[in-house]
Amino acid sequence: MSENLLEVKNLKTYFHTFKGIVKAVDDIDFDLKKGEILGIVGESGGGKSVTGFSIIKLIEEPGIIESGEIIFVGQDLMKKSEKEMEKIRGKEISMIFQDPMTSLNPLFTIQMQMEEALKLHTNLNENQRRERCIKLLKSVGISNPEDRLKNYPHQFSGGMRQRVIIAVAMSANPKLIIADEPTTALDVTIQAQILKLLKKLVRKNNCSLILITHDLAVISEMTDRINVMYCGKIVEQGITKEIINNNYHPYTRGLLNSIPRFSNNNKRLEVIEGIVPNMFDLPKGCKFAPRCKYKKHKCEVIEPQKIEISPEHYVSCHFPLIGDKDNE
Amino acid sequence: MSKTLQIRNLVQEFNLSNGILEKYKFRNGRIHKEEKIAHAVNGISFEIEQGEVFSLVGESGCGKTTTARTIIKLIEPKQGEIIFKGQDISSFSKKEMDSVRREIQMIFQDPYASLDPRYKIIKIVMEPMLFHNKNMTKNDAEKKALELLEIVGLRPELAYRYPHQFSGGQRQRIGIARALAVRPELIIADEPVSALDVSIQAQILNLLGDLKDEFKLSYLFIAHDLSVVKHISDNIGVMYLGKIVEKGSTKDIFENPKHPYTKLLLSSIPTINEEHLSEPMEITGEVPSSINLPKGCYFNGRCPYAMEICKEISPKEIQIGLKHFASCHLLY
Repeated sequence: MSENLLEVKNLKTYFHTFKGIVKAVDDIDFDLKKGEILGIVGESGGGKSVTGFSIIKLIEEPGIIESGEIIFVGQDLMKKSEKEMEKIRGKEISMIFQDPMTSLNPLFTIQMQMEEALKLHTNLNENQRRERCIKLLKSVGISNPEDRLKNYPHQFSGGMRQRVIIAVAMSANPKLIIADEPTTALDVTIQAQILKLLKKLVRKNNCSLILITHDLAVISEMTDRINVMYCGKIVEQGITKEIINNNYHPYTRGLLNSIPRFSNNNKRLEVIEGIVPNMFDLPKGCKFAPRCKYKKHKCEVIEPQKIEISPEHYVSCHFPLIGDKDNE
Repeated sequence: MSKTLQIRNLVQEFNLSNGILEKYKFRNGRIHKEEKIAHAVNGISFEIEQGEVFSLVGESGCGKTTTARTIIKLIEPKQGEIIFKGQDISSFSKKEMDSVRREIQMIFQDPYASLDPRYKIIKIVMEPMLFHNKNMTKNDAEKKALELLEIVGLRPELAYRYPHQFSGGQRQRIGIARALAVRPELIIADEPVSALDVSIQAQILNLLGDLKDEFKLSYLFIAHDLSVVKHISDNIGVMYLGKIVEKGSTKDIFENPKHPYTKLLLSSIPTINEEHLSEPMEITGEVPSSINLPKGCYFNGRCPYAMEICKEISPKEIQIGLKHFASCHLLY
């Protein structure tokens, strides 16, 4: 478990638009151990998805990965050519997207779409490929897989399509899966099924998962570690239990407190005042300072550096909330 | 307390067969009439007392939004009674509805689609006032609109901007100000926070709570997020395939759920710190189509406790507590 599968160092992804530069991901570091489930959480515009896309270098114009290292099993992906990346995408690292309605091609049967990954990344012959597809569909809980292979995506419901997509992502036995809001478009009862399935498969195949979502409850149930992102920065990272129960950054705490909990019956929710700043015109010091109720003068001038507050628990804040006075 | 709204046996259907060729099918040498009908709402009853928040929860396609639209008669009901302040409005004409709609206002889900992009904010908020009160002057309306915007937390200088200049949370505030403009008694809020980020969602939920007390409102709140529903509601109806399978006070539903579907919903919600509300349930299957409704209890295909009787006979509503009702054969 201790071996690092992925190390991201000083990653910067900027978008150069006519209106100015958007620093979607601005100097982030994190690593991912083998077999680990890492959650990336934050509000919209936090840079979660761009982080995911940057890892497999799927950033399109006007976005550019400015600098940084993405070390995956000892190799720096930043130094790979597009041709070499094509061999890694889908085989070593695969991705699951948010919208199950659009990530399958409506013109091809499920079989054709599932076989595509196998054709590209394995040496199986036609019969073996079919066998493997049937096995994969079975493993994601689709009944009657022999017949279902001939179906087109529109013949599946949202939850079923997401199962098919998971099967496609798993088809070449990748070492890493990046799932970008995989259950956001689904109903709660279906979401629970899909999350359970995803966790089971990841643990069984001993691969790692990066789960990107805005839903803190999903993250807290699924992951081993969490990165909390705000305006392109990781503001706090650590083991899931620590982040939920023992957090130090005012943003993490505000985010957790603004969710209605089942256990307390307070009629007022604690809120984070204000809104996410305009990405073209970010505040100078700490990006969260304008919304932070603990801010001091220093926060508005100097950007906080990452500090290790306890083993494996990092926070970027000048005045981390130490002590339990505000914790629930 | 007086009852603001009473719904009795409301039914709503949509005929999906358009044109004669879709309605009549030729089979076995005969012409059959075959209509495809989506049964969106299948006889639901509930009531909302003055000053109360009643929530409808359920998965997509269970008929929550259709219920809301039918109550305000954006769609004519097929059957049933809609009694608003003692008056059955279900057979009201369009003209008669105008005065009712002054008292029932709606807040919509998508703050990006529910504001006219070509109107300034001030005009959006003034429009309903001028429409429903012919004696009001434009100056008065403008003054009142500015007051309302301030109440929902928007500074007056923002009033002369266009909707695209606002964020999602701010737009939802504008939608709320517009709904309040005519001093309604009942607000129907259809997923008002589901398009917003959590930190903004909390702000809007607090605002809705404050306004309820300030303006003496009743809410019909529609949502799929149970944690939001628990936070805001006094009473809850759980919908499945166009039926209310269980209804009761928030405490009844969350602490003493009786219907297997309610239990399933509660056990499916991911929670922080694994403070699960009911023991985990093995969930299988998906919601059946509302075109071919299952026989018997609509939930029988997914229910882990389904018995023979569930496949044949539709269960009747049984009273469990003062306000607590559920429809399940297990409770007989």
